[in-house]
Amino acid sequence: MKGLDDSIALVVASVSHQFAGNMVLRDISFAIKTGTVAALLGPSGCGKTTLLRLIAGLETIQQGKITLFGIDVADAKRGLNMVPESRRVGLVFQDFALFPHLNVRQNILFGVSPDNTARIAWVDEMMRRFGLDHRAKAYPPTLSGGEQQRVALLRALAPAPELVLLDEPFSSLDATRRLDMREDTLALIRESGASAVMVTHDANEAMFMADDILVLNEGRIIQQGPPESIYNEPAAAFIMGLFGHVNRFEGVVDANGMVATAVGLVAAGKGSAPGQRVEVYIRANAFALSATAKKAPQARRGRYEEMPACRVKGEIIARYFMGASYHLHVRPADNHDHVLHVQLPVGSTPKVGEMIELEVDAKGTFVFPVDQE
Amino acid sequence: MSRTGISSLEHTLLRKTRATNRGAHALRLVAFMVAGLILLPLLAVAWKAAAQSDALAHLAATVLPRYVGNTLLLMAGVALGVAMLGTGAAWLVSRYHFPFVGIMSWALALPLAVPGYLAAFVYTDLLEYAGPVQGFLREMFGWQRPTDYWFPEIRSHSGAVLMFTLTLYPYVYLLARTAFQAQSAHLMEAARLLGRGPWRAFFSVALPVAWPAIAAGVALALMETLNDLGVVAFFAVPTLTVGVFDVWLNMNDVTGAVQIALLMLAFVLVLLVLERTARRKRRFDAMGRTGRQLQLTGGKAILALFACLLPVVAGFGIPIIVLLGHASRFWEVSLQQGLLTQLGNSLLVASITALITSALALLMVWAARLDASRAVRAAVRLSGMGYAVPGAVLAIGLLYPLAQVDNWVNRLAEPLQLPAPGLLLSGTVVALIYGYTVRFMALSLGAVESGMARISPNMEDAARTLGLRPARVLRRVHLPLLRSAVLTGALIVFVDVIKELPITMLLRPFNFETLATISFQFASEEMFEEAALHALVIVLVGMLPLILLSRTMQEQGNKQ
Repeated sequence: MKGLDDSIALVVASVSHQFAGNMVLRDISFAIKTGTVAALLGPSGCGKTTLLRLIAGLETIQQGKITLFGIDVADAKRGLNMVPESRRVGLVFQDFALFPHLNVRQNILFGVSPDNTARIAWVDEMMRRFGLDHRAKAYPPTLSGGEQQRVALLRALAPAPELVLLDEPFSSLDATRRLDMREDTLALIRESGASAVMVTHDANEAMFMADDILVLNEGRIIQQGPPESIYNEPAAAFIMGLFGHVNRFEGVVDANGMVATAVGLVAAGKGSAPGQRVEVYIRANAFALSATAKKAPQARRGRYEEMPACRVKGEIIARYFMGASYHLHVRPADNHDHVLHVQLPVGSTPKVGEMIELEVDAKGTFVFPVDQE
Repeated sequence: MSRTGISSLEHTLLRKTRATNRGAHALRLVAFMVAGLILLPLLAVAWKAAAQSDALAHLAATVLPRYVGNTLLLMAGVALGVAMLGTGAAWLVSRYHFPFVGIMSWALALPLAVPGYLAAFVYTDLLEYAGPVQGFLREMFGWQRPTDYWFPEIRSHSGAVLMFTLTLYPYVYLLARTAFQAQSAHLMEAARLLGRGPWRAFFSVALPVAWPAIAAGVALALMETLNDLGVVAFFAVPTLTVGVFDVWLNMNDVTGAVQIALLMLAFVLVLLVLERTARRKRRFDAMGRTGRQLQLTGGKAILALFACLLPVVAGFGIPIIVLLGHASRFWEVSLQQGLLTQLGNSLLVASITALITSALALLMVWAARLDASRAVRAAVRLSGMGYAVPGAVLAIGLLYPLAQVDNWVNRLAEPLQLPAPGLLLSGTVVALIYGYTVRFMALSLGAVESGMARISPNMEDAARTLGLRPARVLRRVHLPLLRSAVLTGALIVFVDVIKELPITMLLRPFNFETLATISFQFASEEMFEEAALHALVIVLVGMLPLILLSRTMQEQGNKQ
């Protein structure tokens, strides 16, 4: 089933959705290219799963239109709502939804016609490659979490869907299994040739898995782009919070286009006007120990203008060992109201109570205008 | 692919959408129809009673106060009895460990297999003036006449309360046991650490948390009490049920009987509200790790075992021993009385009813799954209402609509020049099975619903995304997963039909006898021994669901 334009796998156009008067999706529009793995990234309750269910046809469309490979499958205006079994979309459920009365192989072949020998052969090959062949006769409750996940994925891929949807596919796995399963899952999806849309609240997972990330918040798409651009050029303050610890400061842009913060003056950047209220975000990992910091004598308190931009002195008040890095709480010498979250590589061995000088990498610094409510 | 190609494809898809909707629509209609048929007798009672409400004044001035007073008194006694016995037993087996506690926790449900009327026959047999107990006492103490000594009269109001308590307490016991077991042991431990002694902790924590379950159990026991005809008729306690029966069949006053039936529906409504409210609250039962049972030793252990043994022996042991004794001496007489024919009749109506209720329950539950609208859910709820309605009320409610249909059919036959078919529905097995279906539908519904609730909606979503149409999803996913639930429901209905007395008495065709009606008839004629084998078969069949119960209890035990 290929439509006019199959270079685009999925088009979601102006889709809004509500449950009992609560808007969960607001005017969502985006497109996913064929052959890519896309991630819907956002906090829980932002409407990701509903969007996935709309694409699969498990929810009736209320507003907008959904097109799969050039064919409209749901269009609120025309009352079109193709039933899920006709959409050729695979779905991996968050709880896997394995049929408890069927064994592993029966589960996987559930959607494959018994006459389709080619597909059955593919399934058997994949079961062997992904270590499920010796579990073929086992029943779901006896499987490990990772095995259940692979069965669910393989079951969704077995009927050769053109698009496979994954709803938080790793959330029920423990952290160590998760890393392996991400790789296995990607490999299987690539092997099947399907395009994929996965839902996750884990930014690292989205960056690892996806070619294309869509950030959702409160039912809206905040940003769409490749992982690098989402990380390096976040379109909104909200996105910063998805990638670990950040420091947030609020200030007013001065005549020189600078904002005064607890770490010094930060350039407000293009598009900001003097007098504007802005928020400044600095990633915890944007800090580095100043080369001279250790030997430098205790500097006297100075005014911000005299300090070099984005260099800050402070006392370490707490230290947490994170394996590859230390997470520090630093109280700036000039600004006792603030506590900076700082992440430093393990090579340095700062101690609690020690005064350090930190440099701030401009690449980890972001300025957003404050929403005027 | 051309544009026209796409649009024709789209048409096919639109058609597909509509076809699926048509299936759901049809199913919804069926659900409404079933609910309508189930509610028909109740509506008929309400309608008929409203149409001739002047009869009520006459009743109120004559027999009604006695019926109502007796019913209330009986229900109060039974409520107190089953609540205390059921809760106490449940607390003992769920909280303490003593010898044979595993067996006792199952055995305490056994009296459920003994219908109240059979217990009444057995205890009358044992305790009446000519019975073995009084005979033994007379011989022992040399008493000659009834005036020489005092002995409680079993065929009395308190006797009825005792019979109902002994056979109905398992409703409370089973629900309370589940509630106590679901209670986190930490609750009691917290109460103890906060300075409450074991008794005060029980009354201030364990009991209030389990209260909804206990109330639901009491409500069920009272519905059975209200439904009963056998015990109260045999003991000559004039309750509302006896009233319907008397006014209808002995005074030949159908209008009056309908009025009493309507009044009974008011009682039912109160019980239903009690049970529903309690059930809603039970959803908030605390779930947590259940703690280890406290070990009882020495005298306390023996006391606990004895306390559990008492209701089992009284509610099950004694009846079955008496029945076995009679049956071993009178089995040939029972066979001559047509035991096999009556057994055949019982099995026939029970299996047909079980089949019908299972099929209807599957349809209704599936309809509600496909279409979770308020209307469909209400239809499912309403079609499960019959379990609360006393058989006497159902019987009188079915009388009118079925007779009406028979009239229409006969009148229709005339112009068509067909021979008049006579009574097609009323006074036939059809009416009987209709009555059973209304009353026991809830049991099938409950079983299938709880089975369906255990199937995650993701199951059908998964099957749909894997390319299956809804009807095929039902066949390939739900039916296999529901099989044991449907079978359990069917078994419970089957057993309850075998035990059922009031509907059978009132709706059976002329000369159609079942195990239950023969037992009642012979007991009424003081020839209970000759139907002991009939009664024994009823009790043995009644034990079937308890064997199932013991299996699930074992599985739960293994899981813990």
